Amino acid sequence: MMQADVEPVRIEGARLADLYVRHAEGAVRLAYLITGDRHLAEDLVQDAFVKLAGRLLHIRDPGGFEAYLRRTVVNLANSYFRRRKVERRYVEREGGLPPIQGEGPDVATRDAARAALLTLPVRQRTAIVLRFYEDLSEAQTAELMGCRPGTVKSLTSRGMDKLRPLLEGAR
Amino acid sequence: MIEDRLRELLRDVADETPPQTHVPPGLVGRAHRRIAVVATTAVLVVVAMVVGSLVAVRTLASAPPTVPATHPPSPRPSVISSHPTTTPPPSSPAGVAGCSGAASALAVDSTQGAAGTMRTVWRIRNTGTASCQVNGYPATDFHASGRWLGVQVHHGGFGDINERPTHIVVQPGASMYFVSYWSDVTGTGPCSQFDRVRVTLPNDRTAIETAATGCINPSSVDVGPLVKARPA
Repeated sequence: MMQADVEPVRIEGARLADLYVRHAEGAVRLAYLITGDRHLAEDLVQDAFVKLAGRLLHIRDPGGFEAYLRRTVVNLANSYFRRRKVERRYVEREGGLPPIQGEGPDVATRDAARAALLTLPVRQRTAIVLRFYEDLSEAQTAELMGCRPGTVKSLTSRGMDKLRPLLEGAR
Repeated sequence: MIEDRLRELLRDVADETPPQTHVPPGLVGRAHRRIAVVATTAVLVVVAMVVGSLVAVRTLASAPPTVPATHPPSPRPSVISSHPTTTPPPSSPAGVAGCSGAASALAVDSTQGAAGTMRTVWRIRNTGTASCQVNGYPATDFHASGRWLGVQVHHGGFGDINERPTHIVVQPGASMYFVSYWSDVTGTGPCSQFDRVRVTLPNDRTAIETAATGCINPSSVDVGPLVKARPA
């Protein structure tokens, strides 16, 4: 879970390196839960920091950096999956590589829990991670994902339905 | 609770990520390059906006303004349909009143016509007993078919009427002048046969009328500023 900063981050004049050390770990964990790929998660977080670096001076609320970072990570992850979907369609159309099963990489080598999580559609997974890992409300999750709270509720519910057998069996 | 189990599971999965204790090499450099690009873009946008504004202001300042014709608030025939544009100069002599239609007489000084464009020099004589001052364009309207047309005049547009208005003082009995151009050709029908013309001086609401005849395309009237010397 990304650490909540009580002390506001001083954006103007702050060094990016300090911000990275302070916030990157939480961001990588979030990105990993959404993507299921550690290297990809680290890449996304670095991209997020670079992207945010150009906007640092425009962030009015210094304490809001964490929220900006979280939003940027989710957006970059969504972009990644959209891009990958396009690439996958192209490869399938060209008759090259076989279609990739599941959303995450190398799911067979992971335990059943992670496999189940990673086979959820990315929006369901993102909603579940934001609701139950980041502990955001439905409204906050909806705002971050750019959808309505009702959509978050539906995505979460459907995701939970798929995870329920696993979660109940793990008790 | 199943939600608690899910939270625990998510934490377990997230724990597989390594701690981020060091800044990856190259990250700061990439960030600085992005900041430079963003800052440069912002500067360029600001510069473009400033330059654009300056160009727009200069263009507006140098182009003769178009004065839309509006009907007078009262039915008095002495109030003309378009109001003149004027800027009182800082060097206006104190104690000299502005010229008024109440102490002025309007007449056609000369008329020339060629290729469908009529050029008229108008003379306005100070009939009062005191000097008066004026600076700007006269408002002009034409009476045709029993009504004032409410023409939309354009300030400037020909070589001899493009100068900016200057401040002039008219002695009693002396005259000031302005030049107008209009077309007697329309693209949609016959031109309007007028029988009277009225002019209102800047900062004044008393129109000066005179009998004059001609045919006019009401949307083609260009007028120049009031000048002291009689135009050629």
